[in-house]
Amino acid sequence: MTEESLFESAKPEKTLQEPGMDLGVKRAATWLRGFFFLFGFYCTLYGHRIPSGGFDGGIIVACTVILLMLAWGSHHAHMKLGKLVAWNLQGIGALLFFIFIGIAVSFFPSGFSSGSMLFQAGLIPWMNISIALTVGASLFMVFSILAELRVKEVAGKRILLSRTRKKR
Amino acid sequence: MIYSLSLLLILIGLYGIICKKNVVKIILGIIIMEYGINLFILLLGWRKEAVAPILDLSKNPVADPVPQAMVLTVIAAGLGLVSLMVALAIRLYEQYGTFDTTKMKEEE
Amino acid sequence: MIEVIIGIFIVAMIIGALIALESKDLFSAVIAVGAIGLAESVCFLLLGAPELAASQAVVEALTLVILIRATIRRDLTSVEDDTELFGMGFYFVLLIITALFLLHAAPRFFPMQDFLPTYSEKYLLPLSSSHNLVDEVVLTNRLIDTVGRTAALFAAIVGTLAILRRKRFKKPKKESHD
Repeated sequence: MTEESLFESAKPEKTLQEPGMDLGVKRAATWLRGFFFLFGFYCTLYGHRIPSGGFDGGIIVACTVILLMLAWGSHHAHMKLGKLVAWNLQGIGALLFFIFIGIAVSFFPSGFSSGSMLFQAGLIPWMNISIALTVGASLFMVFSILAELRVKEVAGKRILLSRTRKKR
Repeated sequence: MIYSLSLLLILIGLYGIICKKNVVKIILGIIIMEYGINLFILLLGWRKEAVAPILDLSKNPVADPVPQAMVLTVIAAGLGLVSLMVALAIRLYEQYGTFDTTKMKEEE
Repeated sequence: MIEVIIGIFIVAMIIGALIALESKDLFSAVIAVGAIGLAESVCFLLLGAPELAASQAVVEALTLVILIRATIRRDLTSVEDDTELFGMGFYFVLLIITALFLLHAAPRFFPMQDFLPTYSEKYLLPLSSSHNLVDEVVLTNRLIDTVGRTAALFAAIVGTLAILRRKRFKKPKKESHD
């Protein structure tokens, strides 16, 4: 009790007492999730200067959501980003990627100007952002489905069930 | 010498695909083969005493960035491949109750 | 000197691959494949590709998570009597063909670095919009390949979601009456 009262002002008490894994895992995840997401975003935006890019940034953002799922359960991650939103984000990312390809092809080579700031480097940072959107949303959907499944023997046959089925 | 070692890794992955009965071992064989192929393609772009291709042109020879560009997206697409294979393995387990391919043949 | 270090890492990967395929326990096989991925990430770093090293490390961690979550169950961790005889014969024939090819081709292509084309910076420098050459090549010079592989990743993910569609759990009505 005293341990929690020390940190009471820093974070809400409710998230630490939800069902999930241990208290230590949840506390560590609470401190680390902002850093991971910021790192993934940083990798995407600086992809033209630092050895990273759209693919790396997208996968790191998906790792953040997996950390949330492992510590709290998939319903907590779904509160932050629902399945329908993720499905649309995946499509929007791919669509934006093709739009930027179209712009780049029609304004070649002046679409790729040289510079190091975000808006001076031309079209490459926008392509990185759209690829990160696509890859991150896709991997989030795959993990959210894999986290909910189990195979159960029901009436002699095996059925693929979900952990969070609605109780009628 | 290194090129033949990476070819040996590809051959070990091929052994895992052809000669194993368990579905998970076949999946592991595909993953090992993918690692070996990525290593071999990257080795084609390597020079002696090479530096990473970041554009501060120094005196050392720079490693070729085109094979690295080839391999970069293959690694990310390999993740999608693994998730698809694992989904198929889950469905197979649900249908037959085992991961063994000979028992699947007998049950059919 | 670097060749020897890379050779040691590749030999470690080969030993790990043999352990992963021949072990009787599925859990240790999956962990061995994770160790192979880590050694490969270090190899990428030694070969002058830092972006690939970061990518490989993250992807290998996610591969481990997917494999362990979906295939390890309480009643299935042990594997017995795992090799097929017909497959072994076919593989032996393949090995003989590969060995013959290597014996013919190796004296002509050894050492291989004398035959590889040198990297010319002429055709990339006018487009140099960024300091990271690999990201620039992926998105300007090899854009069609990137589009193809992104489409392949997209299709694989959509295929996974279509395969694992949930069925509704209906209580069989006969049993509730009994």
